[in-house]
Amino acid sequence: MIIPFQVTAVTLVFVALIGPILNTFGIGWVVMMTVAVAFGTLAYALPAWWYGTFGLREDHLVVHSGLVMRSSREVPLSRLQAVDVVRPLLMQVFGMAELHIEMAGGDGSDIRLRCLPRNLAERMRVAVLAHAAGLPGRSPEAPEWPFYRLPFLLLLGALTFRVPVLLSFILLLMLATAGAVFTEYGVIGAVLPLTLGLLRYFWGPLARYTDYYASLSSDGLRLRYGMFQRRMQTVPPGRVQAVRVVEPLLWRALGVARVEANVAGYAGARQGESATLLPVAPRRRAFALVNELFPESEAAYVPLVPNHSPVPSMVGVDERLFVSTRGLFCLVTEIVPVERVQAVRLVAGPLSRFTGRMAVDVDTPPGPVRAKASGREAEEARRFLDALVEYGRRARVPSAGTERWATRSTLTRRPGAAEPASDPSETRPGEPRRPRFAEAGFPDAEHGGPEPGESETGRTDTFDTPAEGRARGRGDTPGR
Amino acid sequence: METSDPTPSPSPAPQEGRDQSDGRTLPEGRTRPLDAAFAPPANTSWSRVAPALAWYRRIVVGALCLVSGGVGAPLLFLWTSWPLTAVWTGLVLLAFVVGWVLSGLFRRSWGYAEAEEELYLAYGVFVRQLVVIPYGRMQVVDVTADLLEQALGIATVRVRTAASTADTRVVGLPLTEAVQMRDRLAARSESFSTGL
Repeated sequence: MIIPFQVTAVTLVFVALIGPILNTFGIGWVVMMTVAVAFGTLAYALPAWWYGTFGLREDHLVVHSGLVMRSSREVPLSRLQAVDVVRPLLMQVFGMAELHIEMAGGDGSDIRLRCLPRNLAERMRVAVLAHAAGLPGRSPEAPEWPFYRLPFLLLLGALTFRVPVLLSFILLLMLATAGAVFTEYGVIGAVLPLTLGLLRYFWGPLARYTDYYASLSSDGLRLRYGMFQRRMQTVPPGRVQAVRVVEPLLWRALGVARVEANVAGYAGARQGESATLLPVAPRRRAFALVNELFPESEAAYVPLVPNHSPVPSMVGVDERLFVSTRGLFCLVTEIVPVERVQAVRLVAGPLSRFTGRMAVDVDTPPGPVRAKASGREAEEARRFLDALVEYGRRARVPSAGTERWATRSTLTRRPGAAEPASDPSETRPGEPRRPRFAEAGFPDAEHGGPEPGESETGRTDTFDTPAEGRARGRGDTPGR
Repeated sequence: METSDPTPSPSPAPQEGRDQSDGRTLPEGRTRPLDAAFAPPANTSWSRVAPALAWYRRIVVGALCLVSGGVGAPLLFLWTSWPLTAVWTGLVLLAFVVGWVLSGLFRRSWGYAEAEEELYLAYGVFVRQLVVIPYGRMQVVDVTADLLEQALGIATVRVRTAASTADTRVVGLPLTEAVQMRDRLAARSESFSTGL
């Protein structure tokens, strides 16, 4: 299926470049050259496709690729950080999908399997996640609970209701009117960058997060979104290294927030966009997600200590979490679990000799979250550092690694239950307790359904919710 | 390797002034709270690094100054007038002296301590830092030594964590010391391992 694509693409590019050649040679030459190029591409693409294979060997994924430069990678799936199924518009038309398996090695360590048939990509995703969870590859997909569905109007409203966007809209309108009234073409010089900026910061997120749906399962957080590019992200438990809740000035009036996370697999510029877990959500729901991501902790109840410096910020540490709040206009709350802290740094710049203030940096794997406590008195800063180190020491249990989460006793809150097919809500090993929001009974008319796996099964048109029966009796190694 | 204060003290509070005055990175006593913040963890003291580190820096600074002075001054003299040459030479000499002093300060600002579950590092003259890395978070530990370091018999132990922001190194250790430290750290990172 991929081959006609490649051939057509290369040929089209060639035909588009052909103008100069057409002038010097005749039309017959051009036709001949086009045919030659098409066949040449076919001759290259066919063997490349034939030799590019992937498969599962126990819980390792083996990928062979390349024709001129053969490469072969074997990846331990227990180390995977996230799995994304991406379907750009063209692939949606042809019913295909792309599978991204993100590993922790930074840029270029991720594995992309392009142009898979859609159901193969789905099966592959389930198998990969099952292996990563330490289950046999044929185990069915874990059931999921709906967590949040973003209404389009809220997305539209929230994206519009931001100071930079509103200002540029107004400026754009003024400029356009001025240009129309005075027939002055100079305004184009200002209109163009404004339009580009709006495309980037207004239209981009709008198209990206349309039809956004988040759900929770024992395989972690599942996100589905996108209009032209449909994405489905799965972030397994324990892969989120740090989280921040961003509340721009006007959003605070609406009571909504955005949640972004550091996931080791989402490093690098291109995958950086995947770091947004909730584009727009009520504040409460945002913190509910944080509580789901870092279980047995309550980010909203960590006592915060304000600093007495020109740049206000509040910081708090408890046994589980480091929380810092900063920002005058755009309020940013950064939350790092103490056991995931990679390193703690106490930094005293050249000015701190006079001011006596210093900062405590909390290092996490790269991502949007940069947690730090700035402008602290010396003893206070040192106390924070010692507390972080001490709590981190207690929280880091050597057996609590995140690989093969389903078979780990430390992560299994309901142990036993080895037979994973009969009742979806009860028997999957490693299933966490039911999401807290279900019991809390938030006044959430739309997705308050406390029945796991029951409610919105039939609702998506593009992604059928993985029901239990679907994943039976398929091959462990979907090939090629 | 010298050790500033080998006697472990139960609480770091009474000891820290002495410990840092050994470092002498800050001249006066009024910055005591700042020093207190950079005290070593309880029951340990900062291990200092070899004096060869200062010489390493001095040689680098000297070479740079020699090149810029030795090339720049004659060229300036040929193309312009001698006052400019004199100014240039003066600047280079000043840079050399400052670099020389800073090298010593930098060497003395360095300290590391291996606590039970974390590695503590303290360094920096203008920007002072105290870095705490849990052993369980270390992903890679390696020893490097460039040509000059080899000639001086020192090496750098480099520790990498999953956070790319922290480039954590222990510089200026004697080679055998560095190798032992790497092995120690690697063994501990294995035994305290908690995944990513």
